[in-house]
Amino acid sequence: MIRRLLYLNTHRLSAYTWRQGRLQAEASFDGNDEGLRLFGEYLAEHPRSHYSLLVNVAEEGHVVETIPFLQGKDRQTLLTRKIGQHFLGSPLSCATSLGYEKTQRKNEKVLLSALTNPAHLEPWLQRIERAAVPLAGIYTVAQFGGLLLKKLGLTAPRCLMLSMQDHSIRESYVVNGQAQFSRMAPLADSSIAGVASTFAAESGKLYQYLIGQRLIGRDESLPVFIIAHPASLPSIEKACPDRGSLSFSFIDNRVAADKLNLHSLPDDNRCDPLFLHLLATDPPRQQYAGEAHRHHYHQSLLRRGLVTAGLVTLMASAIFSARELYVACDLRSEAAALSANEKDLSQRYRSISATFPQLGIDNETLRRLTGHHAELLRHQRQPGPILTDISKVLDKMPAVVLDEIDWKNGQNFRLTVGGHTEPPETAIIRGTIRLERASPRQILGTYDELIDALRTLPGVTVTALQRPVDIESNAPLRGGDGQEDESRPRRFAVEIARSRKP
Amino acid sequence: MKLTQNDLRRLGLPVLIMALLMAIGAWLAWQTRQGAEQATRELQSATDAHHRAELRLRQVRTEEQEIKDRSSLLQRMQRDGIAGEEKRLDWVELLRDIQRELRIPGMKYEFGTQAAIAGSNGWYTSPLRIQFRLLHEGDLLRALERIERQAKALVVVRNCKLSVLPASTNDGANLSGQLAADCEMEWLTVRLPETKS
Repeated sequence: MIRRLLYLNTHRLSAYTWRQGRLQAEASFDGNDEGLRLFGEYLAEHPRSHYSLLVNVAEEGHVVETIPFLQGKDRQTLLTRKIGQHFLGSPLSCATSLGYEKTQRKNEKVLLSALTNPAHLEPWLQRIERAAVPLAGIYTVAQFGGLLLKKLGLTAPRCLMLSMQDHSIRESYVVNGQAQFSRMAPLADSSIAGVASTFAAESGKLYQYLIGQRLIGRDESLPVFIIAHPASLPSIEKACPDRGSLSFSFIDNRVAADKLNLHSLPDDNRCDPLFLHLLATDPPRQQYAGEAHRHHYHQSLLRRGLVTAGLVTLMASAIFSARELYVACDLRSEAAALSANEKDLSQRYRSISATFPQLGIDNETLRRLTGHHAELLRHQRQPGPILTDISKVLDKMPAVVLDEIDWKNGQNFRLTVGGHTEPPETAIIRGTIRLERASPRQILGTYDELIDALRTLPGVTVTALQRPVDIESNAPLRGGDGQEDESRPRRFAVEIARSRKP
Repeated sequence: MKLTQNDLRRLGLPVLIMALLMAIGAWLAWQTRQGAEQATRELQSATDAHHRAELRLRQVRTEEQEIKDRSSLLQRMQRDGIAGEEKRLDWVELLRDIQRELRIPGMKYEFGTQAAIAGSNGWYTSPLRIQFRLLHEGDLLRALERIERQAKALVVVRNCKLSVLPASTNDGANLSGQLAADCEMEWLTVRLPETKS
């Protein structure tokens, strides 16, 4: 979007485009009906440009007021009333705060400024309104005097600033960079000598006026800055020697343009290109247009803001997305590296596994099945060893007649896995002691021999379950005479237990 | 700034453009976020798989000899008929061969129904009750030893009762044996799972 600058003087309005420090005149319109019609057409051709209007007219007023410490609506109401009092209710006005007094009341000093002949601007503003183009603001040349000096590095608490525009001299009294008084003097003679003498005369007149208004002291020295084309400067310097309290400084307007990065250098004494450039690059916060004149400008800002918000969101989203894509890419490459490594490990695992017998089961199952096999194997036991041992003992004792051997491998519970103890084996021997005409003592003696012989077997525990003659105190003992008692078979039972395989 | 109907109409297009740009931005951000989350899941999955593979390899290296030994054992179990389905026909033939070869005068047996061994996860037992009439106790020991050695199962003898037959029985028929034996044992087999490693 191209920014367009409008410059209005007493006779005509000129339109400029500003692009990267280059100011280019586009059109000029006289202040008659034809000029206004052409201006309307010009605006219609460029409906999307943002316009700023710089005014250089004589009807301009400045008043410094002191108002109580107020804020918000109250302050605005008071300022409107003050402007109405001083400038007859001109709609083209502005108020600039000059700071607060350092007293307890904190009164505020305000510079009230207004274009006192709004009728001169009205036809132009009507065309702008009718074309519905955005008007950023209305500014005066006086607003840029202090700014120009500041940009050029020429600072003074109070000074006079004189420049030439069109066929007039603009003279401003600048305090702390803010023009507190400004007026336009017509230029009767446009020759270099005429311009020089006008600068000299006008600076003296303005000085006297300021003394008269008590804006400066009678003997107060005041720097005067005159800006002009280098071709005119020698004559101006000659016409304006330091005198009394005025000390003159001269500014080459081409050097100034260069310092401001204005690529379109002025060709004569006129300084309006410098002020238009400042208007494009650094417009003052205060301007003269009312809300009604800037309606389309605000609307344009709103439209642009909406689109910008969308673009910012899209941009933020794009940045976020780029980051997420980067993260995802990073994670995927890491995952790919891990997968490749995992494949390598699996390949090595397969290589090692290939050396194992192929059984079709996994290692954990293999471990479990074979582990249970070992546990079950511990239960395996043959009765042969213990029966052989018993047989050897009985071979030496012919009086002992064997009836039965009941061998058990552990308890008769169901077989399980997971136990860590080896079950003991037991053998219950049932038999009879047969001795001819033997007394109970002899029979018991033989029985005791048997028990002793069994106890010599390795790792066994022998328990007497039934003695051949029951002589225990807790049981009845019967007997008699004759052969019947002696020939009765003497049965016994002995249990042998062995906890480990021999 | 007060907006009129005309102003609102003129703001329609910018609002639409803003909404469109925001929607594109939101869609873009959502898509890429989804992609990043998917990538995170893929990485987690790859990390887990890598960890498992690493663990498996480390385990197989340290237990290489053990696994080989266990594999050999299992192969031996398969060869001996312990691993796999029961071979009851082979069992019956084995018992008949033992009786014939040891000349055991009498033999009766009964295999019970197969049941899983509690907590073994694959091992099964078939109980056997076998009764002999013997001429000599050595025949019992030889028979039991051959069963344990030759049966296509892991055989655990649980109990055996060896008794001398009453004299009246012996007098009549010496050939039918002097001793009686009544034994119980368990014939164990294991079924291999069908899953591949």
